[in-house]
Amino acid sequence: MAAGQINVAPAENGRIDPAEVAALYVQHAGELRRFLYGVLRDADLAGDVLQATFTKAIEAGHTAQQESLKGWLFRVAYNEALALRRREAVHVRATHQIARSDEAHGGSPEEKLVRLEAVRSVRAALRELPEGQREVVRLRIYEQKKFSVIASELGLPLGTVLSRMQSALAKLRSKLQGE
Amino acid sequence: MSSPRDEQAAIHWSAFRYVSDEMTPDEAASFELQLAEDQAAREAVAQAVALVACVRHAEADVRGAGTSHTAPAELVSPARAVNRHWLQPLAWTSVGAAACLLTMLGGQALLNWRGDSSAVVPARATSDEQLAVAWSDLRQDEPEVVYDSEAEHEIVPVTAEDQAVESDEPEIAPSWLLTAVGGDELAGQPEEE
Repeated sequence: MAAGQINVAPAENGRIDPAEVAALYVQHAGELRRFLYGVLRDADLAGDVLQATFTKAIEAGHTAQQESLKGWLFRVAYNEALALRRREAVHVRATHQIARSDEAHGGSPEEKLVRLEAVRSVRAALRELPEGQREVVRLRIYEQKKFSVIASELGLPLGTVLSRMQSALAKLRSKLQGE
Repeated sequence: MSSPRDEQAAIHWSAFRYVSDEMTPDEAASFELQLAEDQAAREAVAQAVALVACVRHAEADVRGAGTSHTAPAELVSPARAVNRHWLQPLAWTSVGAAACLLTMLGGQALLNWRGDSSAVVPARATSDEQLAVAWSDLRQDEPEVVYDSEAEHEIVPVTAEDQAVESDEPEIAPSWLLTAVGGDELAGQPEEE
């Protein structure tokens, strides 16, 4: 099956071909999990929604007619995530959880073990950034200070801080995509 | 009129602000409406999560706080480390057991899947009840085990948080998925001589 193309005939039981589901998982689960983490801010819940998404894929993936399967998976995952968030008020709880982690340990769960090759690439890209950009990146992402606070601390206009961050992110993203 | 490149940059910037809680509630609500329709925005969120995690990890390493690849016990997320430090011996035993189980299940499943894809496809419909039971029984809560390419002797557990932020290499279909799509044939397959 070409990546992202609909080519799924339902099996005899009306469900998507199991081999297709397994292939979809291999192809998209990692990115889906990160997307869900971004929405839910909770890795365990992201895992739960990922599983629910593939349940839907098994049962109803063959109904995806007019869009790519990848897009269909993301849309289903997003809807599941929003439904879960509404049910459990996850956003508030996750925010509190992150705050507690930060207070106790100076870091959040998401900084634990990223793939080392990607970290190395980003670290190298960070070194190549102009000092002003790197400082903004460090203050915003590592020290988790708001842009307004950074601007105040550095004595810079907020627009300058935002501009530096945007430029830095574009370079870092480029490096990450090259992985 | 903005170019496609400008639009792409704007989406990535919005995604970063979204995952960083730098949006006002109205902006976040608007972006979430966009997420409901726009696949590029969804992918940008996934990428922003990966980027933030990489930067945090890189900065932590520079400051000597990120020793995760040499100290496996510290890979557990902070909240878990506080609450479950006394469970670590049991956890590592479980990691070993889970690794063995994954190896056996995964190997068997892959052999069947690759060797004869029809073996994975149930000959009859798998009922919803069977599916639910199989998934709840077989879902792997224990971390998987991978090896650091630079230190092959070190065991690095992959937690749920880790999987959320790992780079774009594909995940392997877990045994619960193979079981679910394979129904009884994989779940209850008798061992062969």
